[in-house]
Amino acid sequence: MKKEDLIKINNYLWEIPQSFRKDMRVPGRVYATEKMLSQILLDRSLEQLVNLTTLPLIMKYVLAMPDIHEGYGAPIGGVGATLMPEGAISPGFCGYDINCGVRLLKTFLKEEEIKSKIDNLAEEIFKTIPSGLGKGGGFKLEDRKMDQVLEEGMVFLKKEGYASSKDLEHCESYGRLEMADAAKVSFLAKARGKDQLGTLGSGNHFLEIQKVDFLDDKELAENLGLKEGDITILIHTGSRGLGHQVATDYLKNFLRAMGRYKIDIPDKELACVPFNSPEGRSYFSAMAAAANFAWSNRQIITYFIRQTWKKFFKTDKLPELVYDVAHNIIKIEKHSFPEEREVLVHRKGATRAFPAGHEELPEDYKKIGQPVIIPGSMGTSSYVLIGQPSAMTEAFGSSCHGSGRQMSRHEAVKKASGKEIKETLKASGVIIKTNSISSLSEEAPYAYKDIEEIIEVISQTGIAKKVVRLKPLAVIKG
Amino acid sequence: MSFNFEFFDHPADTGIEAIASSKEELFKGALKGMAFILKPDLDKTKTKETLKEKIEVLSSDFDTLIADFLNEVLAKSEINKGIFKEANIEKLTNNYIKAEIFGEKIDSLAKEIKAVTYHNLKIFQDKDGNWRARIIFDI
Repeated sequence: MKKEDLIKINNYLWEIPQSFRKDMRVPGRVYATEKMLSQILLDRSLEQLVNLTTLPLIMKYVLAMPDIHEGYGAPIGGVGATLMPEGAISPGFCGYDINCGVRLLKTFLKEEEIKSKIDNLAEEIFKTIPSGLGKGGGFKLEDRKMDQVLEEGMVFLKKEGYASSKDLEHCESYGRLEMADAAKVSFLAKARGKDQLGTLGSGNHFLEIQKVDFLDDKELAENLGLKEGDITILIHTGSRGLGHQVATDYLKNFLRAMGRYKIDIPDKELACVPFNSPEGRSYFSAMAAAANFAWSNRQIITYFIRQTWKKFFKTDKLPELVYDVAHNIIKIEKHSFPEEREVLVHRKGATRAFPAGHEELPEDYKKIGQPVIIPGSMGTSSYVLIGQPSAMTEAFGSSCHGSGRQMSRHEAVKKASGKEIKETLKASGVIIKTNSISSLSEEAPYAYKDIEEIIEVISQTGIAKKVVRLKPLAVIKG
Repeated sequence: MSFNFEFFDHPADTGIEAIASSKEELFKGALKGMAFILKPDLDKTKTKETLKEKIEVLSSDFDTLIADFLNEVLAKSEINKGIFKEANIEKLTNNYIKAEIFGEKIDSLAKEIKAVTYHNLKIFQDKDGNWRARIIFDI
């Protein structure tokens, strides 16, 4: 695809017209500056975006967020909505890491209070939370409890004493998708997840101790309970092997089922069926169960952090949840076209960004809008934004999800060693704790796009409003 | 041994191309390649405990069979906290494989693989008669 194939709508929005390829059912849209678009055109992400426009009963347009990059089927940073109940449901447009997402905790401590202890604190958290790499955690689930985690998510963890009411309120979908059915999750998936609650995993997953270093909107920041110099903790992980297996199982199953529904798609990885088919409903129930598992995973990590905090600082004032958002998920939502319709919103590398007044938000955030947490790459700043009305009218209530990769792992490794990356980050005030120093360079900051540029585009489009910037002090990586 | 594998670049993930003299050997080569992604120095580390599993996979076609086979191995690896690197293939058709897989327990992985994808999955015979499979892994 060339730049000439796109129509400029404004300085931050481009359209791939439906006439670009004859199998397109709707146009594609890309949020980017002209400079970013040139970069995006270097890989196959927009061809992959066009493939998404061919899904049955896809509505209005398919969106690419400014952090888009090439994936393995759907691009990372894509959003699309199919009409309920006959519209397509596609596991590949959610990804293998179902409900990969981020949660932000505020700690009531200031930078100066932890500065001298940060290395020890990071070490303690690193020891407490297994960072994956083939390892399970200390939190083993009996079969009966596994099914409850899958069906009730954080609601079950609250009953068991691992979560508070406030934790549930400050989590997307209150930490539970009700359509979840444990019976739709395979034995293999459950076996993989058995010892994985409370584990980070590897790849781009991490846990970060940060400080609030810039306030873009003091009043909104205060509403979130954040002030300059406050220490926060960011957790980025998902549904681990359990979710990967759910996606694997259903993709295989959909590939065979597709013929029955006479669906033809340009990439096997985008295999899909109608939502209201038996296969579609089964996947949705299993995906919802995996999403509940992911929220539970981030909650158990939070529980471990609180235990560590209590012991380390000898305090009862423990970290509180600001918000938890999913960025790989499929949800049933209402959007206007312009008449209101129920649709299946697929977000692959995109974050929900509901504005003030939305019925799904808890009371405190209903007044201001939903916090949108955007992690930077390792060692770079993260941001908290607040969803705005334009997100609903323009982007199916969605925003970007992170920096977006711009360099392959192979290329990134050639540029510097893990040890060099660790030293460079240390010099800039960021401590790294990891089990795998060799894979550190794959996640080096230079392998990712500039988060500042991405946040700027999102702010300019009016999808979400910038509130605070968070600077990393210590990163725990798998 | 009549198989080999090499890496190819992908913007976000990892790809391998397995090359072998027969279809059976191709599956063994892809298995070895996946083990290499998980732990490149596996052959140099001391074996703690050996693993053996039986595996049976039915797929839509021959292309997807190789991805489904590797995904099944991946799940067994995670459950057993180990890596499988060799296979004894008892039966292989165009959409079915029955095999015994062999590996070892490990303390840690160099890299986690989320899944073996169907994206741009290709199995073909080159002009020299060798079988080739290009496979992309979600990391």
